[in-house]
Amino acid sequence: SYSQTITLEAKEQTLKQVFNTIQKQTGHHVIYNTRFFDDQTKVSVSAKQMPLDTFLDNVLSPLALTYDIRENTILIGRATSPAQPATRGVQPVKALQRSVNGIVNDADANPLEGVTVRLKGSNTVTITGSDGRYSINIPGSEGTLVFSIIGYNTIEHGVGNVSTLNVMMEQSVGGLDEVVVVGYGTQTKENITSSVSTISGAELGKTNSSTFTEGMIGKMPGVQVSQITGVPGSAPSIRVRGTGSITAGNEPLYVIDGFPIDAASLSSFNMSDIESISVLKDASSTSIYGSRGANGVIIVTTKKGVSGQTRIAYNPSYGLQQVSVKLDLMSPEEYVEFALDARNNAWEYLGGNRNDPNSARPALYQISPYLFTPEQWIRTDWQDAIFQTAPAQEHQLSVQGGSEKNLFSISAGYFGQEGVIKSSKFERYSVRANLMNAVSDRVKIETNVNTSFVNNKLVEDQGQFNQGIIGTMINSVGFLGLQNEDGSYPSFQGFGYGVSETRSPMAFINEYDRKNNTFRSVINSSVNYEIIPNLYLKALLGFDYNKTEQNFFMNSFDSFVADNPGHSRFTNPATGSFDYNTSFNWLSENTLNYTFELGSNHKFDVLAGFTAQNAKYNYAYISATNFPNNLVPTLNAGQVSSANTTRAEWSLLSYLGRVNYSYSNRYFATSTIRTDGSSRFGSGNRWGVFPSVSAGWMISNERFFNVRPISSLKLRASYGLSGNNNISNYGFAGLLNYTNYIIGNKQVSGIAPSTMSNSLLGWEKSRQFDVAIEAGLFNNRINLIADVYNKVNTDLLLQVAVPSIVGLTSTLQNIGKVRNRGVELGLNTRNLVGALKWSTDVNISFNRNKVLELGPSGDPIFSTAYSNAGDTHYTEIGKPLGNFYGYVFDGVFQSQEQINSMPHLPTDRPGDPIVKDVNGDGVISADDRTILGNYQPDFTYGMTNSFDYRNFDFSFMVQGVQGSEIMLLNMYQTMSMTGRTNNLGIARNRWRSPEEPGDGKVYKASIDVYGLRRTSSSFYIQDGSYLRIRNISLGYTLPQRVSEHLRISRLRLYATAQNPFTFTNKYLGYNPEVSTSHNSLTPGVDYFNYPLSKSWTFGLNIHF
Amino acid sequence: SVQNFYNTEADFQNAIYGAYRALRNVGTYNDYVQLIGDLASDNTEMGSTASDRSVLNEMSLFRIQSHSTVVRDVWNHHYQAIWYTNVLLDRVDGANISVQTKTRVGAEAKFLRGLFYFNLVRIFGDVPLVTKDLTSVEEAYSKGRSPVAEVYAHIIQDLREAAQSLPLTVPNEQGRATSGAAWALLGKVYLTQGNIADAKTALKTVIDSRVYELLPDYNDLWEVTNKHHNEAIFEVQYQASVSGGTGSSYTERYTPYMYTGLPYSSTAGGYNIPTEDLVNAYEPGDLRKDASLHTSWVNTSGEVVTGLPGRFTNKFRHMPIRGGGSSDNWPILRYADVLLLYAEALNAEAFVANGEAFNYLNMIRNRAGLPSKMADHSDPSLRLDSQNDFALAIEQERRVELAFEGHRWYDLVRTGRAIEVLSPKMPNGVQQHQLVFPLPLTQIDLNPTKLKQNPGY
Repeated sequence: SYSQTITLEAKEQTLKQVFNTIQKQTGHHVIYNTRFFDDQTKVSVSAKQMPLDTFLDNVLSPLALTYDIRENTILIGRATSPAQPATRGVQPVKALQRSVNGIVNDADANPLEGVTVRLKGSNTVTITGSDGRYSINIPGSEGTLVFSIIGYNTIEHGVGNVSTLNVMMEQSVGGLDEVVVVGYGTQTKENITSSVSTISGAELGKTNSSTFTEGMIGKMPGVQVSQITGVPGSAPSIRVRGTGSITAGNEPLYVIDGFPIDAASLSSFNMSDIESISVLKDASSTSIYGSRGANGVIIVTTKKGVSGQTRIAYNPSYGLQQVSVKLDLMSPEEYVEFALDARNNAWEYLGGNRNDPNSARPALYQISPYLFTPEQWIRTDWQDAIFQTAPAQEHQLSVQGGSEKNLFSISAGYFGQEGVIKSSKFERYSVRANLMNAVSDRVKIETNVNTSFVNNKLVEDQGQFNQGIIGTMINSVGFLGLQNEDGSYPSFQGFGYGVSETRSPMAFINEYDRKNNTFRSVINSSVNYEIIPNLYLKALLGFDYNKTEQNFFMNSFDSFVADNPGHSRFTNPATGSFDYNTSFNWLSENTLNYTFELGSNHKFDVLAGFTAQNAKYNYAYISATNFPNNLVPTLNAGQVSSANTTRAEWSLLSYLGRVNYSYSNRYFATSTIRTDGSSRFGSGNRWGVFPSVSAGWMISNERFFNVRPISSLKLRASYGLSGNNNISNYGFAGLLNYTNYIIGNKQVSGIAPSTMSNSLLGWEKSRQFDVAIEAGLFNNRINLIADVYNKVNTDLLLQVAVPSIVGLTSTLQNIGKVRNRGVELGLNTRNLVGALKWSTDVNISFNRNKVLELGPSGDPIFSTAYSNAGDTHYTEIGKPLGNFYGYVFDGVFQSQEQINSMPHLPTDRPGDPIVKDVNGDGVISADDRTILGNYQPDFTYGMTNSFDYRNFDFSFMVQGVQGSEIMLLNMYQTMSMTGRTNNLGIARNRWRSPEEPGDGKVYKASIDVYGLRRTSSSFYIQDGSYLRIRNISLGYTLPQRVSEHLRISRLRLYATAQNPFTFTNKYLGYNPEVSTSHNSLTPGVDYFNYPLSKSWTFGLNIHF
Repeated sequence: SVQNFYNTEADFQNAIYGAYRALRNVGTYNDYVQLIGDLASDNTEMGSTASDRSVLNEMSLFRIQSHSTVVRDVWNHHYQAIWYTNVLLDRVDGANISVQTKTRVGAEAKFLRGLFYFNLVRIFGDVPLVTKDLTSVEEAYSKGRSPVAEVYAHIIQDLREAAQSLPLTVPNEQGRATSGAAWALLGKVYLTQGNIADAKTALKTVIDSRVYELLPDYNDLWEVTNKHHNEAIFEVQYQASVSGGTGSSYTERYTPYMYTGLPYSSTAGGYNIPTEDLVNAYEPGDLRKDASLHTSWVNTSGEVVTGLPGRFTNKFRHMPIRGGGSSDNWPILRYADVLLLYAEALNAEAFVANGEAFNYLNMIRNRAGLPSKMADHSDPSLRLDSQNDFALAIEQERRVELAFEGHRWYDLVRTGRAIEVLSPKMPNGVQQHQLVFPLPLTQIDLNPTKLKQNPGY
């Protein structure tokens, strides 16, 4: 243990060396800023068992330096006048004139201990006690008190005549001494030489968000978080610095309290447990994660125990959600007109007369009498029918506390949310415990347990007509009722021979039951052993067990039209299925960490270790049909129609090392290396090495640097290599498929090859260069970070379409090269710091993506998001990944003369789309397809403004995407213009006749599809730019005297609006943020997704 | 994996079954090969153009385009099937297994490969000729289209080897290829090529084998309880099964659109509806008409549905079980087909009044309850006194005998009569270039230097 006395014989030692001695002997950290004095000043001192304060007085007073001792920290500063002797903090030096006292709290109303309270311009100083209270004697009635503590923004407050002054201190953002969590360790912001963005739990708390996505969206430069679907509990899509990979996945690696896990599990996470989130962006920070780092790494650290008074907090909230927009659809009358038009046009095309009665027409072109009998119609607004105002509620209870030797942080939470589509629902129960036990001075044991149970009721949302509720709903005509009296559903089937079968949207709500239960437990335990001073051995063992069960049952139900006799009743048979997934993932990590100094200026922090991880998956699936009734939904009641089980496994063995070096707090360097061996790759390419280097220069710590407004200035640069191993577990092997055939009336088993083998299949490699400048101005009132990066991914793991004469349509290969380069700017300003506080965070990111190489021959890649529409995307060298591809629709033919005057298709008649002759060869052919746009935005941005005034806090957040295109493939169905189903409202603008040409963009209706109307074309391309008000929050904290009266330490009430407004350029779908397909070759496709909701939440933060 | 499989007898047995299974894909004989045969002719039409039927509607009206999923699937599934046979053939010679297994499995693979290439060449014309497992993608990129003649030469080589090595019969293993199947297919290939002499020999080998005979009752051909009858030469095997995935789903498509005769609701029908023209093509008294098609049905409301929505085929009529499919086999080669081909070959060589060719034609007619046609018949409608008349009689007989079995389009192209017969019946006519289908655009996009589109598309 440490002593409180110093023994030192020193001749001509630097101050810095003396401070190090103090630190070693007493355990007190010495903190100072070299801008105020030169720590290279040499002193001579002789002391034997001298009390610490005497020693400090002796050393510092000749140099006109003062000091504060608080707990185990010594703060050293410059005295205002050299004549003044250094003073111990609590002792007043001037005559007692009057006393000011008060309480210092943090933003959560917890008392802050150890805050230095200084009378500005004097040496009068005191420190707050464990209850946050202070008392200071000041002269006269004037004066300003300065409150400071590491990790919080310094506050200056005029005293005036008051005798009580309570202040709230905010955690500093961008402070140089802020601790940043990085891979396998922490660094201070000052030391860090790589590109890492962070969000603290406190910041997340401000937006009162209950999901990971809402908490992170728009907050960090270079990190594009998208809410691609509104399914309750769904995972966000996160892209760190663009899209590097083509098929191997672009989602970053998640590391929760040291445990790497997959993104899908984020929904099991309780947001209020989060202490901080770090996003590692450049290669210097990610290469320590080797083959999994190429897409960036998101490190989530959960709240740990704190010593002192036990803190109990309870946070309940209640909210309501609604679908964010309502689509414009045709009314029943408009539909009828449209349907007649479609049949008549098609009949006319075949040589009929549009006035022919049904008896003169083939059935396909006949018209149902129901269309002419509005008195039989039951009018329904299908959007109102399937959407609801859905409640959500959350309850969080947490307890933190402990002694120095035993710290604990335990929380329990419930989150329940109904979806905006009726019958969908999400519920989460979670318990987390973080325990730290100091067995001895040298051995600490930490244990993290996170267990959650998620109950999810899913609705069939995605998919076209009849496959999912959104596609079906949009296409349903508003002249059918919700349900017939006998329980059957009105079906569109009854309306003529050329009409598509439809399942009522209500059937998806009432008759489908899909429940998903997930149990997840992530447990890890580590021992931290200090072998010799500053040399730590950490051994961590953890496991992650996940079990997911999905039960599905669709009732048998009938569809028919009650009021339309003569049409048939259909029975949809009951079906059921059961999915069962388990995964077990263990991790063993062993690291040695040693910090030491060579000479007086060279500081080293060295890490070395090895890790092993293995995951096993089991999957079972059973489905059954022919259920006799709906009474027993378990599969034994039906006839099992399919059953299979699957197993898979991967393992990863790694060695890693890192050296952090700093020279006199001015020059910093970091070098890392990791070697990964993975079971996923071919025998010829199983091991990969991922090195990186980075360096930083803290210019503002240089003696020569004396630019007043600039309080800190740092330059840094990094370069390194990381990898991407996100491919299937057995991608390298030529696999065989098992199949059945019948020989001699008996079932026999057949085997056929299913993939090509590739023993050289290996990592996708990402090389990244990053340069940045970080500056703090006006005493860090303004903080700016600007990063420029260039990231080149090579050996892309590509599921390449190959000529199908090989027997397959695609194979997995390492080919191609993609570059992402960009600029990220983050700006944080504290605009007002008085009674009204206002701070602004702005970030903007520009990323440019370019394909540099593709395949051996460099041939472009055609790909499709929906094969019936032909090739929808095109990727070629020199352009970004995944361009939309197809024909250009250039208006609508108005007359036969116009058709004859320009290149056209043989089937074209007036009213058909004009297809642009892109290559100008005079004919319309497949060669006229061209690039129609790209999903990747020009830039993305976010801005948060926070205000505090007395007991009120207010913030709002704006986020947006500019210059992105979206292929609204919904229109393949909803604007097919066949008149078989209802269409989007823009179908009103269709061409009807030369006299009624519509808006010149929407072609005429026809029940027969001919020409190129249903192939990929510019008709489906929409501007995906949007600006969204993500979050508006208003909070009110009860005055202390009121809350004390209520026997609680703090009570905050808040109201939040999530996604209240979205501005788009006439986007026709529900959500321009959407991307149905996550494949980078076919991005940006909106295909009947679960729409996004807007919500209003009211909640409380209660601290006892 | 592929590297460590293919060792034992059982491995090769499984591998050949895997190749047979490829007959059952959408682009092979689950749908498209036979749908092309009838829809791209005057035999059938689309009963509905709803949803994915629109691509078939396009095809049936001769408006098919290169992005059609029909040509895409036919191409991909055939080359996939050919891959299965190539992988097997590359390994079977060096395998340490019995000579009998080696010979038989190898011959079966060659038979199947010949069949798949025959379809490809008939549908697309020149096609890339892949005869071994391509282990690198580069090799695939280097392959362009081989001329039709070269592909035929390879088909003939495969089928000849198969015909010589395959067993005459396969008791208890029905569904596996026989020498009769290989000879029958070879005969059809020769005839398609215009090689009359070799066609005659091959087809005569089948007849002389005395393994096959016409069933007395045409109706018996379509009973699933009567599978593997003496008229069946080679069939794709289907068996209703809730869990095995071995049932046929194609039968469901042959029902009328929104047919309520099924034990569950389905709009899967309406793909392949007999035309009025075909209904009228049956001579009065033809027993095959009722066995082959219906012209009306009664819906659940008791109404009689007629016209286009009322017509449907009766040949593959067994009710599929939802999710499992029915037991109706798909007949690729049947003895009646062989007899008519043989008669066609004889007549092509030389018209012989009341010669041998008349015997075969009339065997087929008589079974259908129709009187014989003769060179000197007093009834002009039954009189065939020229080579041309006889050829037209064969065409007519094949149309009604083999209706819905996927032959008509290929027959009309073989005899050079497609445009003459079909063009007047199609709203936009039929052009010369449409005698072959367009190559799938996705494949041309991938390898535009080597793969050129058929002219006119």
